Amino acid sequence: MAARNKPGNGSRNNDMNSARYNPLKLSGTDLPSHLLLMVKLLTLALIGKGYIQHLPQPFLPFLPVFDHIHGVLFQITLKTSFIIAALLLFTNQKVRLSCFVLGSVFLLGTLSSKTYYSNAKFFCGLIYILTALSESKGRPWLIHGQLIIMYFGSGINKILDIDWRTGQYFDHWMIHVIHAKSYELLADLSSHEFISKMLSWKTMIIEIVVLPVTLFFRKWQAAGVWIGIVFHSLAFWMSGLSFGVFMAAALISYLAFAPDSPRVYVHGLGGSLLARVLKSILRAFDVDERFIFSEEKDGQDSAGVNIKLLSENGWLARLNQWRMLAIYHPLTYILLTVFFSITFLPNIFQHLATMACLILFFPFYGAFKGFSGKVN
Amino acid sequence: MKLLLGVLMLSLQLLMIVCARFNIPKYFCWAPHDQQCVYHLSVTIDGKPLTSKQINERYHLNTWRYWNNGAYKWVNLESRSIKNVKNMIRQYEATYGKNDRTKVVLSYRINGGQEQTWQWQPQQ
Repeated sequence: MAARNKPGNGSRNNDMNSARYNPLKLSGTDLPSHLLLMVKLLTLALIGKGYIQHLPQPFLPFLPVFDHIHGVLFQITLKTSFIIAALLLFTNQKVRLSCFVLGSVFLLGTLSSKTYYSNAKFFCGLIYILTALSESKGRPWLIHGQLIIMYFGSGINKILDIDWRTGQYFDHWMIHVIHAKSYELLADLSSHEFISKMLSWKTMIIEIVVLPVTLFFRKWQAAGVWIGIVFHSLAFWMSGLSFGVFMAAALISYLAFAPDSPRVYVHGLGGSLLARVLKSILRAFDVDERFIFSEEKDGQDSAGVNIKLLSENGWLARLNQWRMLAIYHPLTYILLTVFFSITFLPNIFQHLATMACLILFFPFYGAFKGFSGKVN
Repeated sequence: MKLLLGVLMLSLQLLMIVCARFNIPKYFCWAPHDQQCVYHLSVTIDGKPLTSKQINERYHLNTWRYWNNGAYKWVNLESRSIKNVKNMIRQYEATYGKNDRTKVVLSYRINGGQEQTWQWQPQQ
């Protein structure tokens, strides 16, 4: 690690070669690093939520051909394929093929059983397949398109339903299906009709207009991602439901809007014991050696992202620099995914993760510029 | 070729969103939580009624906790469209259960509205 900042050093190359199979490594494969991180986290979320155990046997399939396949054999094949493809993906081998196999597992599982069908599994399958089909260079617009179609379609289906327009759906769902006390309190303060109508129309407007438009135009994508986080967080806070893996999967898929592994220069972390511990943790999870640390307070700006932790522009500016450090480091996303998806963790971890997302990806005050691809 | 396949997958979803406007089950068209249909199935085979547990096992149905009149009860719930439930029953009885001489009565409420009924029985 002492040779970390000296390009061309032989020991560094050896380190890099030995790290080839490291699940934390994100560069050097056929996929851009942000997409590789995205699919690895998605796989982690699916494992954490127990989706491997529930892969189906054919039952009331969409295509009759599945009724002629041996059920147990089909299920074992799906599970084995998932495990092998996930292992290959985590060890950075044949990553595109792995994504294709993982996507096929969920799409075939879905096609084989109407009772297995869910939007979350369908969405995960599509994200894997579209990642496998996306180009190595440029923006992954197939995945952007997928998110836009999903939100738009979801909103269109709602707005064409009278119960959604009148708020009847929302009121019934919140009171009888969710039994959300927070909603009842809110509704009792004004009126059920007003609150339910307002929340219904808020959902429909966000899904039909706000998210598709902001996620489509590059200059608004940072805001779009944050609005998406707010949207999913509100749904979670009000209903207490994360809709299986769906909330985690949707938020993870926003990594498709991130830039492809910029180099990050961190100035002014200092040499205290705490700083050294933090540095070693950050380095341990930065197998690609994208983070370059310097103890200087005001290091020279280099091509990439420059983070000055001891900025003299006030505490808010300094806080913002720490926020940038978190945004660009893969450890943040690993922790968020763990908080969102490990089923045995108490619900409070999901609440903490949504709050953290809202703060980290707040689109103003600079930090998010890099996330929408505008890295110098 | 890869790109073409990707575009085709996105286009198919758009097509399904359009198709969902017609009287078909809502699958692959992004219709999560479009309706909350609480339903109850009565199934008889050769005139002999099945229990709720047997019905849930027959069609692989789940139950959901539902708050009504100050108490929870367990109900069957469909959160996309009741057409999906009808479609599954039809498919089951036309394939796996085609020799069972089954009669199915489905009573349901969409979003807490008026109770409606739908029946299925084999054609003579």
